[in-house]
Amino acid sequence: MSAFKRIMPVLGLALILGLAPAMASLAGARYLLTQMTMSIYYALATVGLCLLMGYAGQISMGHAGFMAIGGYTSSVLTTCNLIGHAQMPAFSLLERSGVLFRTVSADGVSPAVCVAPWAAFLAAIILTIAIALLIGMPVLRLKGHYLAMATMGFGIIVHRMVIGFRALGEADGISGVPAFPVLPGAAISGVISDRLSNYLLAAAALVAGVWLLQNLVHSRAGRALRAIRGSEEAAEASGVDTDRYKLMTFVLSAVFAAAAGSFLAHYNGGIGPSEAGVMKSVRAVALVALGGMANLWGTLFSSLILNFLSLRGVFQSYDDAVFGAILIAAMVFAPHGRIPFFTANAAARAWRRLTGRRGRGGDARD
Amino acid sequence: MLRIRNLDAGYGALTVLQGVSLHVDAGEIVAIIGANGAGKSTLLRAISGLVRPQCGRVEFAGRPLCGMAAERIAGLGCLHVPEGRQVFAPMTVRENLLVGGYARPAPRAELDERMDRVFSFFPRLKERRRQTAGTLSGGEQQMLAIGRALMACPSMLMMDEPSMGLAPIAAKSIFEIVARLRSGGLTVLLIEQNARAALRLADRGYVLETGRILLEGAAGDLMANHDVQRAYLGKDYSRIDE
Ligand SMILES: Nc1ncnc2c1ncn2[C@@H]1O[C@H](COP(=O)(O)OP(=O)(O)OP(=O)(O)O)[C@@H](O)[C@H]1O
Ligand SMILES: [Mg+2]
Repeated sequence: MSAFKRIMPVLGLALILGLAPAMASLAGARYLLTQMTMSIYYALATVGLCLLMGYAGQISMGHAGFMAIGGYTSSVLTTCNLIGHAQMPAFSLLERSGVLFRTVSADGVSPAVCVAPWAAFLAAIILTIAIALLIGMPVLRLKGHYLAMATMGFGIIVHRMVIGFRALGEADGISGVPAFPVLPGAAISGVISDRLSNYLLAAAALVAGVWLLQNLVHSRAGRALRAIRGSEEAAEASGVDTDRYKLMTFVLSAVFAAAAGSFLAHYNGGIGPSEAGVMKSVRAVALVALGGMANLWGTLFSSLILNFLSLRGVFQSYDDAVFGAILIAAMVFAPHGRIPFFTANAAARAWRRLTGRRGRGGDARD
Repeated sequence: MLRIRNLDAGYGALTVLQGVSLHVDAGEIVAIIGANGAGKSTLLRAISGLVRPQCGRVEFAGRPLCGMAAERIAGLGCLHVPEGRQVFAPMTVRENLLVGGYARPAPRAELDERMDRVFSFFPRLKERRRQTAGTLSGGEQQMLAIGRALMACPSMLMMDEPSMGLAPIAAKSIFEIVARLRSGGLTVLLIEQNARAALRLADRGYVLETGRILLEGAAGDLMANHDVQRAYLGKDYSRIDE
């Protein structure tokens, strides 16, 4: 695919995301921006999983674990008070270089020193890479449902740790996470008056993430990933270092989740243990499956739309059940993981399947 | 070129190959024939590093291969064309070939050159280079699987049942390709169910049965052998000659 053909859909995405708040304003529903912003961050995490599941063919049932690692690392570091360590020799150096910053603690009076959001973000990404390497190396030798169970185990451990540790706020989570100034004059924060700029920051992050993935998929590495998915044995026999590519993808998808988790924590001003729940991981898997597995765009839009509806409370108390049902439906109707969900073709195929008739052309995969 | 001594290999606790010894000299076509489940594919997997040999020695061009990762073995020029072709169905013909070049990384210009060579060998693939591999016919997919291996500049090709599931005329053209590859200087280790066609083409052959080498010899001698005729040539005789 030429670079031009590749950039068109990304520009299209930027346009849609850019127009959405204008439409919300016209409809007099600016309050929707909050959920739109949050669903963009969730989508950022999901497209990372799409790379792993759809292109490298590896399942992860612990994606929320990485999102939580990102969110909690940022939250803990930017809220913990280090003023007691002010005598340490490195302290003033770190403060002068901007890694630490002075603020006030939750009571509003006593001085506090915390890690700056950018440094906390960096730490979150580095920690995520380290953990993903550590988990990925043994776990990616497994296949199919063994891999699913192992990664789910990882997700459960993260969830339990988040609930169990005092420093991580136990069941209450962490609040008081400060704004994350990413550009001059623009910070990720939950301040109501900055709602539009926050939405645009999130949209820009998503467009950048998708642009990166889109390029990766069509690069040498992406070709290797698609080959692994096509036939792991043949890829290996052709000289593709399958272990290395799978690990690299696992780490990259974890980084996407962690970055999304960190941004979301700054946006919400806090994080709670439900972010690390197993159902959040199942939800991500369901969205990738619904999007058509190896379909970045399908995953992107299914994630934006369904997360938005879920955050608006449309599914009420059936929230988890809805995503569970979506996962089942995706598996039943597309066991090979290729539903080109957003094409007219898919509707025709589903119709044929339901009516038991075979139309012209038929379905090459059955 | 290839020298195997006392090779044992299998899957987990299951040992499929027991004490297999064989050799392939440079420029030869060597056929391995045997019934379903004899361990033919396992033998190729053990050579190409897809399964780890349990014990024994495998030497390629004087270098021991045991324990080496598959991609390094491919990089040495010992290429495995797997059973059932296993082309990367959702990717285009061109992309399939590019992946074939991963075993020996090279700048783009050289990869293009290698691809041109593959295309001159398989003009059919050139016509279909933008098509996804899954839409090719069985014979074309086999050409692609071979072309993909050629992209790594092999000195030896190991082909696992290249005629499997092909119409007789397509199978015939695959055997012609094997002959042409050899005259182009390649060494070929050929596995076939179609024993008659394989032995006709080969210089030497081995008969593998339940994980052991039962017989070996010049292809003509094997074809004349009574046991081989009864076990591997008898029933297939009329069908193969179509
Ligand atoms: N991945 C695997 N895991 C476990 N056992 C396997 C695996 N692949 C093959 N086997 C077993 O190893 C034995 C030899 O299989 P192999 O595929 O090598 O036979 P083959 O001679 O190539 O047969 P065919 O002519 O059917 O291709 C069989 O008993 C088979 O069941
Ligand atoms: Mg076989």
